[in-house]
Amino acid sequence: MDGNPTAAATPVISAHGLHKWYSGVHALRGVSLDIRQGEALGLVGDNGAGKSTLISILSGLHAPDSGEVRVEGRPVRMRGPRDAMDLGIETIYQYNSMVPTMTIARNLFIGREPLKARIGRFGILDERRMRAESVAAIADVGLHLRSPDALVGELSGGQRQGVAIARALYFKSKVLILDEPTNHLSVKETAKVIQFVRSLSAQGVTCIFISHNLQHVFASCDRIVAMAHGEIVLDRPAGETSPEDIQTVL
Amino acid sequence: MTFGKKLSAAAALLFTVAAGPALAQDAPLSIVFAHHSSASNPFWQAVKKGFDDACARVDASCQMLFTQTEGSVQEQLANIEAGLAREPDALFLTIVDNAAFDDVVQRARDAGITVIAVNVDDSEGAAGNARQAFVGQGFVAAGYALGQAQSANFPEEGPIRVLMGISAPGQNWSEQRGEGVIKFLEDYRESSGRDVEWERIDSGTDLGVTADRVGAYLASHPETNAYFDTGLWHAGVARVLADRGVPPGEVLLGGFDVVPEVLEQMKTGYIQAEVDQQGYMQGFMPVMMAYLAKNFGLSPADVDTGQGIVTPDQADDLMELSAQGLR
Amino acid sequence: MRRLLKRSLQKPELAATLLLILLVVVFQILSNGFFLSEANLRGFLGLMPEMALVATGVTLLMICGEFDLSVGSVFALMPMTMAVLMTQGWPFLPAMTAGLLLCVVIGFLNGWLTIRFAIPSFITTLGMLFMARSLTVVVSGGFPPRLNMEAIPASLFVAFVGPGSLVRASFLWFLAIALLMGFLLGRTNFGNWVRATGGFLPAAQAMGIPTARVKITAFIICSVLAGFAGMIQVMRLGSPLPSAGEGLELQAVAAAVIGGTSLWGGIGSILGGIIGAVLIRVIDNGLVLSQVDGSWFKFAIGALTILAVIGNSWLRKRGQAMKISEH
Repeated sequence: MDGNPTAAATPVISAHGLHKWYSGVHALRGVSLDIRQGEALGLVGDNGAGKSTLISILSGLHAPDSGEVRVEGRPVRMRGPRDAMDLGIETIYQYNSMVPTMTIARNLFIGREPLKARIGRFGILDERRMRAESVAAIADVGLHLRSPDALVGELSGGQRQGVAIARALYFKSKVLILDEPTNHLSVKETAKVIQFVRSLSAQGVTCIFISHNLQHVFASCDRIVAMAHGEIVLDRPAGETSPEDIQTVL
Repeated sequence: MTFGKKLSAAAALLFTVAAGPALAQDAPLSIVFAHHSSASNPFWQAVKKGFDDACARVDASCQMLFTQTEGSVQEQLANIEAGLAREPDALFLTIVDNAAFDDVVQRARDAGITVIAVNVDDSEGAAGNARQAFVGQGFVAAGYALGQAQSANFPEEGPIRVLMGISAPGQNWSEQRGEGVIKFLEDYRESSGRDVEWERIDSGTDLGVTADRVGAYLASHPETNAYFDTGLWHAGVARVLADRGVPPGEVLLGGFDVVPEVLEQMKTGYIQAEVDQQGYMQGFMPVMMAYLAKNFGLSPADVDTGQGIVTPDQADDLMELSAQGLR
Repeated sequence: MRRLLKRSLQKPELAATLLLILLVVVFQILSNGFFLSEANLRGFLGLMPEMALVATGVTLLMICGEFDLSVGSVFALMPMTMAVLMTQGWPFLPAMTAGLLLCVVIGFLNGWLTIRFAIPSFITTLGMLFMARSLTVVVSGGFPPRLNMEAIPASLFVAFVGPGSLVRASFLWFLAIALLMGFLLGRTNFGNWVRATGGFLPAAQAMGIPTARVKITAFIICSVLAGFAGMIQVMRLGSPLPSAGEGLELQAVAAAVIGGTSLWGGIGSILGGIIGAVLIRVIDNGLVLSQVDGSWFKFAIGALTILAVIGNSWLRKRGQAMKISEH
């Protein structure tokens, strides 16, 4: 494969005919979507449109009832979030993928702790490395936190999102899914997140930005996909549409 | 009596005796035994054995209801109500509270059910409750007897310091046993004129906890001559003393109920006197009385299962029986 | 320095430790200096390791976000099973292994039932509490078997070691296990997973942690520690009674909470649970030595426990409120 990131080659992640039922409700009705590397895709829709369901399948949290997901062209069956993370798909969930009672360092490496000595999957934590690298990872996203030993619960909403993003980047994700990342954030923090998503795109990281706030989506993404009643109802580059168009379709 | 009347009386008697067994076979005697203890108490297993053996002998349909919480009066009452719903011929119960059972027993009596109190009686006896008889040991009397038996081992000279362990403060059986021991000590002090003092503590109903608490007390009061427990948990204390290197007999130990561990400690010399409630008898006798009541209309009578004190020389013989739950 | 103080006051273990020191001083005075004497400490270190072992397991499980109320019953079931097997001729090691395996099965069931049917562990383990307690009675046939002390290397577990025969081998076992658990929780990735699972389950699951397996492992550890502790107590006191450990589960949870473990999971430490257990034993022991009247005893225990938790909470709030200028 040549290293040209913008070549219209195989999409980095794609969904084909996904169906999903939740308690008798047909939440996804044959959704198909191709996402190219480096794209910043905004996914919008009202509550119940199927955005969260689609995302939960792409992030490995749930399995579709029918249809398939492909990563770089290869069909994959993800049995859990771990499989998705191994494939380079990182998700920042709406209600935090952080454990507030644990430190930043421990949260950063949660589930993927660096080990000093190991037997099988278990081992002794390499705490020095955890601390040092968390500090570095957080600095990389422009956050300045005093200590990696601070509890995540003590951080503000924006800072927590920052740590979550830092974590996703640290593990070199190919695809970053952000589920309502600007909810409950201050104006300043929101601006930071938006700027962030843009810079990721420039670095070749693919982003899927889910939000019900159309302003934020348009500010950060270059392609908009709108969903309603479990189906995709609009799929256009951001420049060719507007928030008003979206409103009419939803 | 005229010859005719004698003949009819004899015929009636013969008929009754002949019909007796037949009657018994028609409707098997059904008995419900609801007490305050939980299944993990070894003493009640002995009672159950006596109960089950007796029931087998008279072909009775019998059920013993345990509580989930040791000593819970509410649970016991609920069990009794449930048991009465099946209209048994007889109800046996432990009257661990002077008032709580008066109503249910009266109702049972009104319904014609034979009611016998076992193991623990209303402290006002027949005056306080409508039960027809009491089979068991007088707790106060038993405590007194224990104190008396142990006093034979008191040091000949010097002050006597006693620790009275109340296993379950507030519960009839424990308080009364303690009361009995203390009553004896009071009488002893008066009659002998010696310097006798005692203290009561909440000693607990767990081997580990009792051993810990009494062990701590004994260590801080080395002048203590004797410890009385209202149950069988002084066996744990014996262990603690042995571990500490205190020779047997230096601190006299005595309590209630004969279980293998207690007998073991009697053989080693740490326990000198033990009250045997004869639990097997407490389970066996009431069944027989219920049988007689149902079939021949005989009234149940009080049975004192004894102030039997077991001493170390009897330990070996009892070991075997105890292991089978017969003593 | 001030920051250090602020941080420390908020650590729940510290608050519990300060309280412990305060109580020790108070009891030392009330008992006329006897509390800290060698004799008393020796006795204290008998029951304490057994209780603290149970508290350790319960603490670990609570940090993982679940409860185990069956520990008291498992405490009795394991040694009872071991003793019964030995009366059937099994040598010590296989009998002990069988007993511990039974604990593993119980722990597994507790966890699996809770997770598979999404019921609160409070309920699952409450049910197991009754089932295991009943099994203990069933296995013993109602009558506690004699433990053949010859066949057991009891000295390995409960003999006095070290100078002055102050400390028992059981204390060393406890220390080793506690250190191991602390290490497991604080320094391994498994420990990280336990904290995450208890702290915020959705996050742990989303990050790919096998939370079901983590929880079940914690349940198993909890049951095994409880069974092991029960075995040690039986070796120390000689008799596997079916009533052993009754009420232990509440004490263990209390110990964990006093030591700073949150009832909602995620927060706590092994050290905290141990300090909590020591605190509870100190309160019990100290009150015996302070000669609190038997009938008031339980009141005193309850009052002091509440005070301990209030004191803990107050110290932490003081710590949080301390103002430290940000730079």
